[in-house]
Amino acid sequence: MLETFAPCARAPGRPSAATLPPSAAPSRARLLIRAPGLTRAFVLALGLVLAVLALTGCVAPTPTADSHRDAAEQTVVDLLSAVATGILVADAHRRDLALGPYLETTAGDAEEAARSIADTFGVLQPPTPEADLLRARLTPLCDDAVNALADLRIALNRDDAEGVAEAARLLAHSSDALTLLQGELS
Amino acid sequence: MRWLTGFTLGLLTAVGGFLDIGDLVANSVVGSRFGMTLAWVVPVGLVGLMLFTEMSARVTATTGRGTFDLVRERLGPRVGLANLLASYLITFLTFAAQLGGMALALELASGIHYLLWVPVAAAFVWIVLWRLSFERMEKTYGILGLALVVFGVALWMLGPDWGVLLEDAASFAPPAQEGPAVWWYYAIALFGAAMTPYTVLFFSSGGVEEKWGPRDLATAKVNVFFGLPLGGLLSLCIMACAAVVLMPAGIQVSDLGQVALPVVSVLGKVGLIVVILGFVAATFGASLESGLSAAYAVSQYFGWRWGKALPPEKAPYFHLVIMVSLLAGVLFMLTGLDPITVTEYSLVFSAAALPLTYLPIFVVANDRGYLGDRVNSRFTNILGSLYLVLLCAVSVAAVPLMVYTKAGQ
Repeated sequence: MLETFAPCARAPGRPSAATLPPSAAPSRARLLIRAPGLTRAFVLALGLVLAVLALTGCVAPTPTADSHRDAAEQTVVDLLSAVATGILVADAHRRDLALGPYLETTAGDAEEAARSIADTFGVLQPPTPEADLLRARLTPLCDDAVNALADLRIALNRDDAEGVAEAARLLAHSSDALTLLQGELS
Repeated sequence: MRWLTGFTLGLLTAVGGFLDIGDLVANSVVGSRFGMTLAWVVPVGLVGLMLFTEMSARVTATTGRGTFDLVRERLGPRVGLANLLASYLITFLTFAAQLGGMALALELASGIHYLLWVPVAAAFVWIVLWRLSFERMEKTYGILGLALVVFGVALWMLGPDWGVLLEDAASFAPPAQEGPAVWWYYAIALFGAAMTPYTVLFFSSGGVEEKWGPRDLATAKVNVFFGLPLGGLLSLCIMACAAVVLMPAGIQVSDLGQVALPVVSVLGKVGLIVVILGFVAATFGASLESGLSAAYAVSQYFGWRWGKALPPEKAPYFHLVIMVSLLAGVLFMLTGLDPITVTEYSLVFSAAALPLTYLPIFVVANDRGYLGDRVNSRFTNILGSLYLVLLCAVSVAAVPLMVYTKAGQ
């Protein structure tokens, strides 16, 4: 069951490929798993991986008016993406282009994405009174987008053509409002 | 005739097996955000993949031994361990992402939440690894993966302005609304998607499983030099579909369902069925390949007996690594981490670890003790050296760019 490990040093007179069975272990090595060098290398590699994970896991707060504005702009872009997905899904339903589970799943994913985007912006601390105004303007747009996508998902689940059409109208309205705000922010 | 059949099947397998969840997501995300401005990354990554896959195939066909086996023997246990750790971690992350991707594709087909599909997908992977022969397994998913040609058909049906697409591809600059840091970040992710280490590892170890000898080298080279570019062409089709349909609509891809939207918009329900079949086949095939590759890497390094053809009692540790990796992959995905996010991170970490995987292959492929007259040619060495410099640059830039751009935001 247990195989003998081969020595790791390169040995002269290695056997040719033809003499080795394809999956056989090389029979001349011993794995120096307890060697201090190996342990050091392993700890170093592990430390690096943990450092990278710690660095990438850090999320900076929103300390300035500019970064709050940038976050708002990014929120608008991401919401527009989710809303546009909903509009395409509604159009595919209207033209009978796709199967129910696909449309419902895609609309559900867009709704989930929009909700996550809205929540992320919602927890940001507005640093200035101007940022309060921006927040007061964007938050209802976030809610409208999330609600319209939820309406779409519900209508798709019921295969309710009128409900899908109504949700598409709401999404178009939401898209227009977000586009307007995007223009002002950029 | 038999040679022709083998060649055709091998070619189809190379095309169908080229794409995985990483390619699907990366190309679609890039197309929807940057249009065709990052199209140049695909051929750059593809040439690198062909270069090192050919080297690896040559080493296998000449020596009859697996890559990690030779890397440890040739470069010693320290370098071998670094190589193993990097390759295993990346391959495991890729494996988990493929399982998640397969579950997402099944969710699109059924409407049942993907988390319920993850264990089912894993069980299916395990059964196929256990019961199906290597050759049949490889060819089945490879040919089913060809369903993704539907992106090429959809692109044709969309009737884009080809001149504009080409002009976009030749611009080599980010669109006005995107910054250069994010653009480069996605260039690295796309490069990582094209040069995923498990592809090379699977190709070479698969050669050992199929008992390649020097006579099989010609077929292997044809598969590498023709099959992989056709797979790359499919990648560009996915990117172009996203650039033509999603980018003008303002959609930035974050879900697998969005990747299929361009196909649905022109090919309707038939297109949807074919594209979901392609998603399942591509992710399923990549699950098998990456799961096996993880076990190949570990077994070859430690000198255990390995091979899919060997029953568990003859290669117990090999099968144990597969089982543990599969279980760990399932648990990882069941934490609720978004498979698309896992995929994106796996691509960047993959890019960061590329030199650790490819440098040892380059060294072994230059060793006359192993390859005799079949060592790298001067041209291959020049190109290989250039790529190693590129790989090091990508490796150094990957993680800082990820931190700086908050993972491409």
